[in-house]
Amino acid sequence: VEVGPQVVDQSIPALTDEDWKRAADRRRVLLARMRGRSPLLLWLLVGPGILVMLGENDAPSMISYAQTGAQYGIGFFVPFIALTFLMAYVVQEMTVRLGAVTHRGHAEMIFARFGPFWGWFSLTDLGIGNFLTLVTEFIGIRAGLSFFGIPPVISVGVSVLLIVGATATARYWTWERIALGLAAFNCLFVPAAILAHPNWGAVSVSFVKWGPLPGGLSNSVIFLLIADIGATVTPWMLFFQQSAVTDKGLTKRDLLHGRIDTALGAVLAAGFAIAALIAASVLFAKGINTSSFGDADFAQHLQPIIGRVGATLFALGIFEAGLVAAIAISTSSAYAFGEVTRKARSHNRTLRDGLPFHLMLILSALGAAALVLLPGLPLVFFVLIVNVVAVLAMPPAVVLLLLMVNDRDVMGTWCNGKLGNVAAITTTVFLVLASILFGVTIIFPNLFG
Amino acid sequence: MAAIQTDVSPLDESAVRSLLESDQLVEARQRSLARRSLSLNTLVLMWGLRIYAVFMFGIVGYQVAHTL
Repeated sequence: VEVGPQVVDQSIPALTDEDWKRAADRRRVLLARMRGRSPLLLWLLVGPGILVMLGENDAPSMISYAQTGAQYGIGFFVPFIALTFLMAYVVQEMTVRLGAVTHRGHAEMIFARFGPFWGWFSLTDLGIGNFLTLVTEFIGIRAGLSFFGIPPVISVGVSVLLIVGATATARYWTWERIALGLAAFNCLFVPAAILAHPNWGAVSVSFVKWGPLPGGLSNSVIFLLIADIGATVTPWMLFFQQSAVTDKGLTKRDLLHGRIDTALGAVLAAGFAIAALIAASVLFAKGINTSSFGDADFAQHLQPIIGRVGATLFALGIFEAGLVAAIAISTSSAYAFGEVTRKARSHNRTLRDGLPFHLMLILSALGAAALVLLPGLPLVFFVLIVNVVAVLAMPPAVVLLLLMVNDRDVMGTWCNGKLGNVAAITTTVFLVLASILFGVTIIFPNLFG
Repeated sequence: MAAIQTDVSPLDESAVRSLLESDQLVEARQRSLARRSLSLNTLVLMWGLRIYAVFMFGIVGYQVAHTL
């Protein structure tokens, strides 16, 4: 028998190890749906939304909320934080839809639909922002554990090992559950807030009155407002959630759960952020000046007021915030790198098969960690500059997102509706104006007194 | 759908293909999407925001260099 060359049907894509793993996850989703097991279905489909929101409750953000509470007490900023997470939901929901409909990551979509010229601009913004933010996460990790007398080499080293260990599982599901398990500790700020014995009546009233705002609208208030916005919606979140939704394998059928996931993340993150503000508001009540506080100083200064347990929870919360964000942000860099180079871009790839992806993730974490250990580095300066970069990079990023989600050629009927566009455009305009206002305060620092 | 009746049975190739949407497969995702055409208004908006971002990054960079 004469055997000719094997004919390969080009129209049927070959299966990869990544496909098999994703299909195994999808089978569990299908079975849960067929059997009507709603809680199990929710458990299987949540992940990217909660992770992105709690990941953004990172070390500099929690410090920013604590700083806000310590300087202005309970009042204007409590409902303001809730509003910023509502904006975050509006923005992030669009990335869920993009990922579930197109099955493409965010960087991949920008490069494909807008071309490499605009793609590289976005990627440069993301690369700079991600690296600076990663540095600040390790500053938080180092500061949080320094409260317990743990040397920086140990705290930073163990955190890098955790990040490497999570990605080495080479399984999206396992990686996601590890990250979610760690992110659950963001709730530590809640008991810390309770131990601060705040005036809960004042907390409730603040939602009705949107006040008080001690000192009125000053330059420092504007800076904090922008910092809080920058702490809630940043470019890495767009890239991360769309790519994670794609990696998880969500489809159009899962959109409701994708939205619930994102909303749940927003509610949890807002609650924990407000808790950090409330915990630190006792410093405002005692008239303690926190303007020069670093990451570690809050827990130390809170200890005499809310006790050792409360301060411990606060310090652990800062450590956890840094660690979870470092996991998410390094993943966001690796996703974008893989999507642009058209190489591996999934946690479902083995270390060998997905080497560029895993290497990018590990090297970005290692680089930031090493920088934090360098003696004499202006760490506080890094923390200050990172929110500035995030806020300034946001307008182009969110406008590209809006253009993509209204792109009928790829989104079809899943484009923004009229109501969705009103909410999205309002949020986008608000973010752009906030960024421009922030830019003005940089150029004219005395404009608002 | 026989291959997906039980969550402990091993998957076979046809089950993998039925569980994933066709454009979810890794190889399918390697195919590029077509470039979209951008209207003049969109281009003006994108350029405006890009120039703003580069300008502001320049100012921040200057301040960083000045501070350090």
